[in-house]
Amino acid sequence: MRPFPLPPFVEQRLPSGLAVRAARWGKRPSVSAALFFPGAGSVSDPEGLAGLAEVTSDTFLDGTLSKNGQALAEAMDDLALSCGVSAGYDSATAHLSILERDLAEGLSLFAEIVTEPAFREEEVDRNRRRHVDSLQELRSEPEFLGRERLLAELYQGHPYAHLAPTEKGLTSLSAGDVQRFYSSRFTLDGATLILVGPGDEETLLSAAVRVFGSIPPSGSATWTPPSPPTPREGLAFHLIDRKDAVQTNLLFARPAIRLADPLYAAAVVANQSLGGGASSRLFQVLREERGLTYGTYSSVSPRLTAGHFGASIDCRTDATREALSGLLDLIQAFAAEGPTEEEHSRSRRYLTGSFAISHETPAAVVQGEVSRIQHGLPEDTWRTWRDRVDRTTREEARDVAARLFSPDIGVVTAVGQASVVRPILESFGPTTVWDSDGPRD
Amino acid sequence: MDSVSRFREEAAPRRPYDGRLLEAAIRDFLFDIPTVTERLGNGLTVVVAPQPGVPVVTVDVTYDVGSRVEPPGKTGFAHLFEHLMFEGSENVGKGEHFRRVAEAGGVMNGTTSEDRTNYFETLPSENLDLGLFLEADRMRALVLTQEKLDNQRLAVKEEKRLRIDNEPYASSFEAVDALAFDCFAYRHPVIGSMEDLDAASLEDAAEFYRRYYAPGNALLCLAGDLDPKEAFESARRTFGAVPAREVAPHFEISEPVQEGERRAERTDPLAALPALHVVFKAPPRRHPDLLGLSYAEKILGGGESSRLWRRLVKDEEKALSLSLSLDERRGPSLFRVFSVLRPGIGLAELEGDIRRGLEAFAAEGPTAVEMARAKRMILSSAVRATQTTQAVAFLLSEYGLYDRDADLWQEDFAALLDVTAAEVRDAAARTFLPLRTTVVTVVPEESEG
Repeated sequence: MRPFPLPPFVEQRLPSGLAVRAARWGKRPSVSAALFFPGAGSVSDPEGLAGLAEVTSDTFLDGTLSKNGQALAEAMDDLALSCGVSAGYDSATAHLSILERDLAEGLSLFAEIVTEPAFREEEVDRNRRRHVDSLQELRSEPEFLGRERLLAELYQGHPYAHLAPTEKGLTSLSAGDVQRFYSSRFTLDGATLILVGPGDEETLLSAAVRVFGSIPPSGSATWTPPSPPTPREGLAFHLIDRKDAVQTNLLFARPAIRLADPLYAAAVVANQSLGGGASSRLFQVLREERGLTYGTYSSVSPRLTAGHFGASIDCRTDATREALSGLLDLIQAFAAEGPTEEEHSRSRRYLTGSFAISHETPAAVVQGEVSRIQHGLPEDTWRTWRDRVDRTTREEARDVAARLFSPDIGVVTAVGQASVVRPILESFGPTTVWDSDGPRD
Repeated sequence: MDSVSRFREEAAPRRPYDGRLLEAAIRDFLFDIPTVTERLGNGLTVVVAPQPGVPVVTVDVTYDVGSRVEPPGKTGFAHLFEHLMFEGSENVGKGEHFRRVAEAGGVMNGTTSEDRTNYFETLPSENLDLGLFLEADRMRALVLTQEKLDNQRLAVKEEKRLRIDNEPYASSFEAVDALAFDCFAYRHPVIGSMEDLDAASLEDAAEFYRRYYAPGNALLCLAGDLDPKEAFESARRTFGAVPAREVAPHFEISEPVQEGERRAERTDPLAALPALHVVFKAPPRRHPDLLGLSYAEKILGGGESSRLWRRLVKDEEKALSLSLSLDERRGPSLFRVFSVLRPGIGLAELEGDIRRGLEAFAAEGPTAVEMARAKRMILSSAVRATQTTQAVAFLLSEYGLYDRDADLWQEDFAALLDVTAAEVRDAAARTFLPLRTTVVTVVPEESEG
């Protein structure tokens, strides 16, 4: 295995409590940055205000204390500043990309956006309305319908159950709610600013210190991550009726593990053999041998306090039974037997080799660091990742598949024509049928 | 919250566009993509672009064939054939291409457009030879069977269902092309029709391979962390063994100037909200007007402050989304506007807003401030877009194949940065004409009538 050393980060903690980390990476004169706020994601949405984190994040770009929305937009475009704030489940992250030579001005504007947002009432209302209208469009997309139901059932009653804001939550929230959410969740104490670019890391650090260094402490946000979800039992089937569909979009998911779990690397290696790519078992059998689908894949999706293993296949409506049984049978067989020696060896080699390909850009290195910090992983996590993958034995991959992949528990969702698909799904197990906006019966 | 901004007084003054700085940036960084080109005895053009840094290399083979060559009754064939290229060759069994690339720690794929088809592997640089071997073997001796064709026909039909038939608005993009273009080459979709896919035969595949997959009809580009001398030696060793074959005649596309507005209304049972396409015919790629239209795209819809997007999406809340794009082609191109409407907004109202906005831009042109912003956006996008070996390989392949000069993109990019506001205005005035407009409206089924 050829060495591939990721760059080391240098760090400085500022009076505000903000940690700044910088690394040298990339060839082109462009800097990527991310300001990571733990606890500012949708898990912190108060009861009845689902969507607050998302609306808050969206409204950052609509004005600061000294610039209205138009003036801020013009200032961003003057610098060709690519910037956005996005809310995930457990955190929110402000992203920045800018030409290296404009870094000082870009960071100054970035700091203004994240530390002095105005959250004017008319802008918050505007974004609420847009989200409500967007929900209509989202509910016409099969992928959204399937994932929305899958997460709702897999994480019942848990904050991870929500894929998108609810109309009820959106119409209930106010600019005051957004202000309070910002004040309590977007504090610099506890946040981390990560900068990666082709220049010297100390220069990057200095640029950040010049902009953020004079901000005084303002107290830290106390945040307790959500408790793990209640373990579920059995396999449940849910059908979302889409009467004009010409395909059935099938998803399966079951509880799995967090990124911080010691078994995570083995789970990734095992998943690669089952459904990580075009050479994996699901793709080779269900597409290349049986022609049932354009693509079928599996994945491990970690959150901070939980995680799930999932798989998907899209097929023509009249092939729904064959595709679903094929998918579940292959997963079951893999969970029982694990990968073959050839599959396991290929997966290790793929994951260790392609690691460099997935880290060509500064933005990729930033994202890796955000993920590491978010999940509380050690400093050397990604520098040692390839070794951990390479050391994973076939037995470890088999054991983790047996523990985390088996479809004896979990959720299956199908988005398609209920008139055809319902009896098929019911032959697998009791099935709940939903319209695109809620339960049918 | 403190209502006094720390940034009000400290904010740096706006820096005006400085052409010298841009030129320096281009010279020092953006154009730092040296290439060496060689033509092998069998006609294959080889472009090598060393990009030291991350130990990764991309092998890209681009063939001068796309859906444009498909006659009526054969639609979708170029793309179906692209699938067959992954199904095995003389020394690579079925499924082996995927497996060997994965074992080497690489990623691979192929794409088919109207104008060309490409195949690529991005690999750890020590595995460059594997990519060359796989590509050379299928260029030299692809193995076609009825079973493979039948299998991939099913996969492609599922791809069509996934991307087009089961997705809201997707079929309306096909309707736009069918209406806006006169030539069959661009009127039909790359994915084809189910009927034509069903009719595709093994004989068709063999003839297509013979006709379009000759080394003289392709370009090999190697970009990344490689030694140019060794890379050329490997390319000669692997691809040099591919015999020369007759090359298909160059395929020209032209059509008469559009002299009247074209309109169509579609009902989409999958859509939840009405949508609108407003499309203008534009000249082929590398025409000077496209430089100006690149600015129009940015100034009208490319940034947070862009005229149309800001007004219609943010300020007036008439559109849920609004995208402007310049679809550059080897034949006639399209300047596209696509928008999904907010509930309660009429299609005629939004169409009027969009068209008046474009006409006003064509009459007045951009301001100096807008030009400066767009230039910086163009430069910034170009820097970001050349960060990976794959992106570099695709860029060089396009110019190398279409123009026989992989470095010509630098000349085009320099010209792009030299465009004036008057040239942008004039290009817009020649393009945003009522007589050159195609409008397609999309109505959800329940809103019909």
